Amino acid sequence: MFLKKLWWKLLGAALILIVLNRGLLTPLKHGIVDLSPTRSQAGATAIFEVFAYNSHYDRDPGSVRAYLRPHRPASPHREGDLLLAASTVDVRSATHLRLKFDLPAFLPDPQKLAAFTLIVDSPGDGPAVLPGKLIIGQDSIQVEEGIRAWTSRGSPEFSEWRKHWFPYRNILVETIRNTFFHVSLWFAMFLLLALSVYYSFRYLRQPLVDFDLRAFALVRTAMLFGLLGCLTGSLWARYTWETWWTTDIKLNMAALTLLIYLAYWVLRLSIEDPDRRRRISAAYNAFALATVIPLIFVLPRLTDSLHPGSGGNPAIGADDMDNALRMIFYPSVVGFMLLGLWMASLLYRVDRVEIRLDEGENIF
Amino acid sequence: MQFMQLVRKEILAEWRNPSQLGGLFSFLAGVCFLCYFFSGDVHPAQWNLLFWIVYLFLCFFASARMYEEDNIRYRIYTSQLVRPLMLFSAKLGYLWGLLLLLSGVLLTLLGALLPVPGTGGLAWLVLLALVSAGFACLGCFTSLLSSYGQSRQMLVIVISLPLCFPLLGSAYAASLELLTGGEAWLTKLIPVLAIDLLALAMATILLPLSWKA
Amino acid sequence: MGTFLLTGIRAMTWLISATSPHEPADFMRQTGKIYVVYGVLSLIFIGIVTFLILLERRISKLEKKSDHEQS
Repeated sequence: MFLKKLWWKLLGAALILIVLNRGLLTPLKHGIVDLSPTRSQAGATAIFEVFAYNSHYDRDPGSVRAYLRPHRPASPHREGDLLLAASTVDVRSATHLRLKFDLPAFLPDPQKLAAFTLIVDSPGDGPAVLPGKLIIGQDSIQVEEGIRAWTSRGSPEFSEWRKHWFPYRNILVETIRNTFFHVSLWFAMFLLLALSVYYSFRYLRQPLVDFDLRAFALVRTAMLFGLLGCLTGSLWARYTWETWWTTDIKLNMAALTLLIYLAYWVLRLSIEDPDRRRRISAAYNAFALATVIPLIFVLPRLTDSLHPGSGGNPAIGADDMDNALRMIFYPSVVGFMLLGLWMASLLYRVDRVEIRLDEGENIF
Repeated sequence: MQFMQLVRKEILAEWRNPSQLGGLFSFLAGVCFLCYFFSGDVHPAQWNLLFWIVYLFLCFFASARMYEEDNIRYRIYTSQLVRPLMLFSAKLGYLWGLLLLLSGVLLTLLGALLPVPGTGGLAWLVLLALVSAGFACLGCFTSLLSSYGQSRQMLVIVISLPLCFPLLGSAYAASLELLTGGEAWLTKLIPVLAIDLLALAMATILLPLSWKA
Repeated sequence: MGTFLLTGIRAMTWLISATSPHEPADFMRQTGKIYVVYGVLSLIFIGIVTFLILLERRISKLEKKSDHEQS
């Protein structure tokens, strides 16, 4: 029997172990935390203090390079060419640079103010980008002159990108690793709920106690996962969005899913006759599906969300996930699903034994 | 036909015991007056929220009694006379009409006591008809399920409240569009319609299966 | 010598704190908020342990029941 086989439980445990190992030990790419000042004037010699995270600039101070590039290029086809190298790069410490730029008198932009992107390239860490933080102003506008002045002489060569390292995101920083633990919990919860609805349908078609026990065990495990997902998400939100709970649609949708299954539990408790209890709760479980589907697939598309994939894809879109993250995220989803199935199978088996002892006979 | 006869039976039962219907309407009037009494100028968004919350309570009170009078023996008896799906659809049709009536009165009363622009009109009728259909389906089904349990009235609210959210949310969005004079109210009705259809389809599939209990 | 070393260390810590003003004082936000990941993992572990405790209580109840039937 599949439930009592060991291999898939070991597989789940192994996957989680791999995810813990890779997910916690893989370093982050270096990233630019801040730069000051963030305003400058065309034609000036500007000095910027740059603070980075997870960088090792002092290992090879001579080869650290820094560039400025227009955040929105003046004309799309020239994007690659417009680049201004720093005249001097002063490495103050492993994470601190002092950059000097000789800004040309005109900007390659038809506006008085334009946003610029800072790129720092270090051979030990790879390139890092701070998009659009720096604003440079100009008094008179001459776009052609600006383009000529900003066109780089000879294309710079960036050092190799660390492909399997995790991306640096400014507010998330190391908590990007929570993707493997918090998000996977939700994915596993939805799988468990889907399975429980499947067993509820089977119970309605063929009233075997076994199906109902499976459905109920799956629901309880899914509720544990959902509760953990809420708690971990709340902790994560506290230190990134600076609040324990937001009115974000996905959060409230998740809370609602929990509420539905709490109601399912109440319904089970309030019906005395076991046969009737099983049938009615199975019907409620299946009916809840009809309202949970729009909850998951329709409403989040209509509202803005802080979560990835808002206003479009209900899950995680292509832009939100780096390939390095994905390589560990998918195993972690499978690992947590298998762990959930394992927990649910234990609950189911205990329920089964309990019923057998109560009834005093084999009703299966 | 049998369907019309069953609906007429529901109406007759209601007519012979008018205290419940009277209770519903007096609750409605009282709440509307309460809103008028305690709120000064209201924004369309606040008005909208008030309207749907009162509507939700009316729904609970109206739907919690749908399967009240049936005990199990009566149900076995009726199930030999008519198909349970037929009985369910008759109750659904009756509840739909009742909710439509109640929500129409609520709209008129609340609109008169707390005047905001954009209440009334054919658009509101369409919206209320669609939303009431969804709520009637949810209400009838949860009322049927909870009629097997103890403390029915409480149970109906507990098990139908989380299910109401998506419908109420999309209804709220559509009616806010109407109140603020937006053009997109028809596209905002699509989720309401989708939830209605899903709920009706699920009830039709599940009813014969859950009836056997 | 000792005082010299101490002042040296103090000067160095001052230098480090001066060069990275973005290291926050809040414990959970230190080292790139890695302690949030630690918190999340602990919560998951606590959840699984709670599950085990509840399961164990039910199993011991069953054991008692089956012992009762045996005797």
